[in-house]
Amino acid sequence: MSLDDIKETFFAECADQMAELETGLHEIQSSGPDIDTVNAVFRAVHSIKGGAGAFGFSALVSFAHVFENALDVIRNDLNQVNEDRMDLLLRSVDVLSDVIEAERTGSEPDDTSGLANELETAFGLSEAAEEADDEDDALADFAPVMIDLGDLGDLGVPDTPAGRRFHISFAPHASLYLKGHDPLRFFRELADMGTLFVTCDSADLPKLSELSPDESYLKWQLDLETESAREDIEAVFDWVDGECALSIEETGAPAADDGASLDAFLQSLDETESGGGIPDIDDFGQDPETVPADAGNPVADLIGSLEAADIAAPAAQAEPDAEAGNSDEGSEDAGARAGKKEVKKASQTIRVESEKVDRLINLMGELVINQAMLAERIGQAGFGNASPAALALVELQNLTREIQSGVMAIRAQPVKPVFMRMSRIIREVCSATGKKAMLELEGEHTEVDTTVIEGLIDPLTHMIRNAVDHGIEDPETRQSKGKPTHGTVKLSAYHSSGRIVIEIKDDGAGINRERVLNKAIEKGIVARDAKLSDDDIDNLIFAAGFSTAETITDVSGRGVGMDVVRQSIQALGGRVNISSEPGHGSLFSMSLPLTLAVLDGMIVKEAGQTLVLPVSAVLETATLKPGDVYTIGKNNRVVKMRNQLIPIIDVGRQLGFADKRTDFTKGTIMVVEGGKNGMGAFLVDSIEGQQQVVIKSLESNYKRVPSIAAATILGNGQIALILDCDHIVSHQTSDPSDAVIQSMAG
Amino acid sequence: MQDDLEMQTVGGEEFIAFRVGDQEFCVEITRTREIRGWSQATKLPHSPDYIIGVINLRGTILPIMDLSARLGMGLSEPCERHVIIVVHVRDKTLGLLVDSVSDILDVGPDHLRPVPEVNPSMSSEMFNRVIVMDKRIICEISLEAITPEMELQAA
Repeated sequence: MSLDDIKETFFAECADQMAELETGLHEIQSSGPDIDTVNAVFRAVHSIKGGAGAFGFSALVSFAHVFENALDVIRNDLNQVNEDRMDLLLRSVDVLSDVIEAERTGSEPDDTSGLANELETAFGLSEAAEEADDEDDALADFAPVMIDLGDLGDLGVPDTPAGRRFHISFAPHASLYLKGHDPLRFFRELADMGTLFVTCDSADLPKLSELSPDESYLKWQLDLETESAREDIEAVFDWVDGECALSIEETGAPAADDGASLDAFLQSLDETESGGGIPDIDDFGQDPETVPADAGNPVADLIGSLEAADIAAPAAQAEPDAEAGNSDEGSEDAGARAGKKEVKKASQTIRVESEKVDRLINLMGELVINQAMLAERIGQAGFGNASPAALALVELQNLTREIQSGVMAIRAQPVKPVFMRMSRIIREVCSATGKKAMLELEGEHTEVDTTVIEGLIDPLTHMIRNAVDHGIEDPETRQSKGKPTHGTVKLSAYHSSGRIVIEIKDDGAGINRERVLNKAIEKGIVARDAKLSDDDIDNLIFAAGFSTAETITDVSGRGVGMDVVRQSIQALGGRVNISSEPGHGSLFSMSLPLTLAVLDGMIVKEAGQTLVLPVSAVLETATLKPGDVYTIGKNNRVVKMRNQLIPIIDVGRQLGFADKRTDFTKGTIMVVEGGKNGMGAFLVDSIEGQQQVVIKSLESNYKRVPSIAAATILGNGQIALILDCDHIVSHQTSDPSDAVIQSMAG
Repeated sequence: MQDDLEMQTVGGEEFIAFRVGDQEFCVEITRTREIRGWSQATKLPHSPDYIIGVINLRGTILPIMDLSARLGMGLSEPCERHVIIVVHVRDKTLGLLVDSVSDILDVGPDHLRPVPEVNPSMSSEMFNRVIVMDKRIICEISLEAITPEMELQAA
């Protein structure tokens, strides 16, 4: 693993930590401080700092340090939380993420000292340090506890004498811990090279009353039997060059009686007056990373048995890296985590390149197609439904479906990270406009395919900006209307009939319909004498080239309007709707497919072609009797269903596959929801059935085709086209009163 | 790969030649991926007449272009004896419907000529070069030139 790889891991983890940090602070803000959350937040910043130290990102370290100290104040006393301080902390999150980004791209981070000073002032940080000292004194009352170390005596016996012996003396300076290193990592790495004997020299350890938590007292004598070369050993300590006194000598002589030296080590610990002196015992108790998983090497075994002894606080001191606790730095250092990563995460999560998952999804698609082919062949071969072949096929179908949902679940992610990102957007817009707004989340754990999530970021960002910039009034106006000065933007997600629905609700002024209509007339989007319902007017904001902002702000006026939002959501196979109540706010509601890989399709025949409609779009199907069809104007036919007049869309003609139909009673009507364009009654020859189909892009080898969303491969190997219902409904040419909608759809 | 081929053919280039109507055309052999028989294509709506439709090429959607129609030589009526030459154009894969594959040519630089100025109706910009061998005249199709609409989408 090269240094660059490790850095990459570090930044990937930073992203996770940032998400945790932001989530935590958000939780504190909305439901008050709670010690677990505060600890989680603290740990996140601490980990970032530790890792940053290991890579020498000094700007990051120094800011994270102040941030951490500020959080420590809250950690020590939850009552220290107030609105201004929370605000400051949230801003710090933004700055921290900027600094991380700067370090990642290798650019010069912005000066953070301003905010750092603010933090220091607001949290009275010099004061806090004293409090921490008091705490140390309180801990000094702990009594030491004897630990049963079991059969430690066996540990030192070497199994097989290896080629070379080295004697290493290792005395870390305090700065090593400050940079977030952990001696334990070096020992583990050495232990991987051969047989390692560790002796801890605690002679310099002062009495607890004289112990300074920031000093380094412990030294280690290491004997290593290994086949590795001296350079390999030196490489282990590469990271801490200059941070420790290190000497490596090749002895060639057998190691000393290690059982004895371990005893001596333990004894020396025992003799230490008191077991306290670790300012942050919590870190040990809670940190799973200090639990070694590689039993079998002496160091790990020692710690393992210590952990197994269900360490009371003082026992932690016996751990070789107890020292790390003294400086309150080492226990979670990222340098060590890079090495320990596999050990820790194996049981919980794994990081997989998304390409690998994509491949799996593609293969899964092929499997679905193949299974459909097999089903067709079995049908053709004339096997009965109860024949063993047919039954085996049913089994296969069930398995395929399960594999499919399993594979899809791998790629499914909660929408939370995207939602959390929005809180930053809101803060930015607020500070740019002087408005006050809070983000409220609901259903942020709702899961959806990552490809959908990625496509969601831009439109969501834009809509959130709009909600604050155009929706929420400034504090004075709000006050005069009797609303709380803080506006609320509520972002919620939930699953509904196989789709994910995302809603953005603000409690702002709502849409000013008069202004919207005037603007639309002025821009020539609607005719001057057009009669539009409130809903129609609201939806005008999605029309191309429409922007109501009187002054184009640099917040939401970026040259793109809501039409771009609508387009990008449509590109994801989604729909967006708006409803607004003047004076009370607006609600944007987006409905998106859960995945972009498969679709429940309704297979239909029309004009000799097999076509697929998304089942989610089909509201009902029916056959028509002569009396059901009404003619409006010369050529426009509508059908009365669901108490509405729904235009009949002759699909074959619309797609140019067939001439105009004359007899509307032959064939089947499918009432299809076409997003905000209302409904359409699609007329097709027949319905073949319902089937899960794999979405294949037409664009990858050809180009986007109007009215067609994508293609799929059917069981017989033929390609069928998946219809873009929204497009077909909005581009039909039957009813002149639709002219408005059509021009809106562009 | 390409270099190897050129080495073997002593400075010459290899082309795959095929018939469309009563004429012969060719493309560089390195641009072709495979040759396959005709199979029924699925029609695409709102597409130019020279795009016959799409077929399933082992799980990918392959658009098929009627080369005869594209070159202004009239629509083909695809049937079993037609052949599809699968070629790479830009980052995409395209099937060219031709009457038959006629030859694999190893052409030295002497036989490669620039496209002469001919009647503009024959759209000489669709060709890169002309191979003149014995009594045969074979135009090399410019795959980029015959697929301008795909370029727009690729951007």
